[in-house]
Amino acid sequence: MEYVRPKRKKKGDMGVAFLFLLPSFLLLALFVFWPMLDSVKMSFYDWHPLKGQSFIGLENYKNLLKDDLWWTSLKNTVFYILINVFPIAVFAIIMAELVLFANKRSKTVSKLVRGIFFLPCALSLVATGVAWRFLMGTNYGIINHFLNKLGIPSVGWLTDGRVALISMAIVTIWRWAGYYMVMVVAGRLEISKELYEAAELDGANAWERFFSITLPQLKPVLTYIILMCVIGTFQEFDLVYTMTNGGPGTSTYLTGLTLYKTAFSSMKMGYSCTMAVFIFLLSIVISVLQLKLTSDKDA
Amino acid sequence: MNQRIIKTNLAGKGAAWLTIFMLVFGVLFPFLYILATALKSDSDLATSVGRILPKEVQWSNFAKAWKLLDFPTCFLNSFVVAIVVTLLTILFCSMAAYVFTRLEFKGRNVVFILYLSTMMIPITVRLIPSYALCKQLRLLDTYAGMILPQVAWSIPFGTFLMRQFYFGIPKELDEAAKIDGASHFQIFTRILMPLTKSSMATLGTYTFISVWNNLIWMLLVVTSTSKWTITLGISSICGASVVKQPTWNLIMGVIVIGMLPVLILFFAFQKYFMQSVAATGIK
Repeated sequence: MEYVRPKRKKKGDMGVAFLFLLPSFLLLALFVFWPMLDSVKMSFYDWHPLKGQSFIGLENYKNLLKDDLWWTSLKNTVFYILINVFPIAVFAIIMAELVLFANKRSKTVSKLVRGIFFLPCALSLVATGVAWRFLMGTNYGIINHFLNKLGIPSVGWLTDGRVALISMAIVTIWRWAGYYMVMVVAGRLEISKELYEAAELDGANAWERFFSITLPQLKPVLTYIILMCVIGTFQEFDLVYTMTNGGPGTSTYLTGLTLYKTAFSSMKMGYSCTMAVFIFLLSIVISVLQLKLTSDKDA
Repeated sequence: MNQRIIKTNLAGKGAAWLTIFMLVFGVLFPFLYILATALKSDSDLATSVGRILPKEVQWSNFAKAWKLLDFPTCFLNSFVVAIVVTLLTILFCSMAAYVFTRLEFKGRNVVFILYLSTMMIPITVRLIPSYALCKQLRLLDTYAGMILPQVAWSIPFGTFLMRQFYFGIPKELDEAAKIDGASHFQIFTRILMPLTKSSMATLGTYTFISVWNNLIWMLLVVTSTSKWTITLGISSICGASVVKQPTWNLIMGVIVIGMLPVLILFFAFQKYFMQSVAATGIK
């Protein structure tokens, strides 16, 4: 009897598991796994939505390697990552520390401040993009007006190709810093108080405590945040689309926008799948790197 | 010595409060400026770049902005899509979480990793074939086409999140029910679902806001204006690629009206939204 029971239970679990997973698995298969495989397949095809598809081997890949627009958008994306990810992490940490600092004085104030910091991420990127386009207007924008008041000449925030990506990074930081702050606060509260008490007894000041305890302990959370920001940048679309639509020139073409326009403006869907495969491979490399980085810490 | 420490302490505290104040101002200013601009008259708009507050409050701007876009239709579409995606995501992810925390079978971990494997892959990678698939299945410009792919894309993160929450519920509770002869279905619906109400609210708030704010999928799948969502509506009248745009005060009016529902929701469910963000950071 005792041998039969667990066996029967296992079989029963299998059936229930199948039923419980069925809806989610069907959807995943249909709209996640299949499209990804199809992306790989179609990257070898010439695929026009009206004219149909034909196999062309490595043609798309050859074209991609010498496609200036693609390399420009890749370069833009990497530059964009470099200028927005680090500030987002820094601001998230500063905001988290300030919220915890305020919490010691008054819980109500702290809650209010935290809510305000978090507010921008409730706003859609579409609304955010349009609103900031107004704030950053070269002639009518309030930001340039403030700069002029301080004796600084106007900046072509979204009209100067050398500045446009930086302007977008500012908006991205404004929107996401408070979001990631919440993660940092959660990670910060996990750190045991005893560590801080011991450091205080040793006479460490606030800065020393921050650099020798807080920052190292937050490393897993911070690597996760950085990974999310990097992945997020590769799928960035809404903000560019509403703020600059890639312009001026090609200065704010990011990979997501280029892929979208290749598929739906130039109607080269197979070619856009080749871009998708490129991003896919890149995101795997990034994830593996991140995994390596975090597991090094544990070793 | 002691006095010096107290002095630097005081200065530090002052600096901290000052930084808080500056950051709060920086975060809030765009919101206030959007609202103030929405209330300016046309002539006021032209002459008042530096003056933040309107000379005369023009509430009638909102009436004009309301006419620029079919707001009732857009809100209804956004709401229907967001609420259905949210409910299905909560249900399917809870069921998956139940499997991954309560059932034992061979290959469970492999299936779980398969579920999570796509979490870190940008959505752009599967966009074009998903569009082609929806075209083939005749789902373009239908609610099903707007809803089902978005449920699918919410599953990896949602399953991950619900699994964390399910681990937090002591197994003794369902063991006891099992002894009383309850089936898995009963344990799931009578014990675990009621116990994870706040977790479901957490995942729900997160899903609702992301779906409500989604633009790119709507841009692909929707073709007729009667299916426009609010993000699609806003980007269609004042996105960067639109040539003939309304005046800025009316655009800001559109933005204010457009963000109102989600802002209300955000304040009502802020706690849950923050929990969902916090829960993903700790692994």
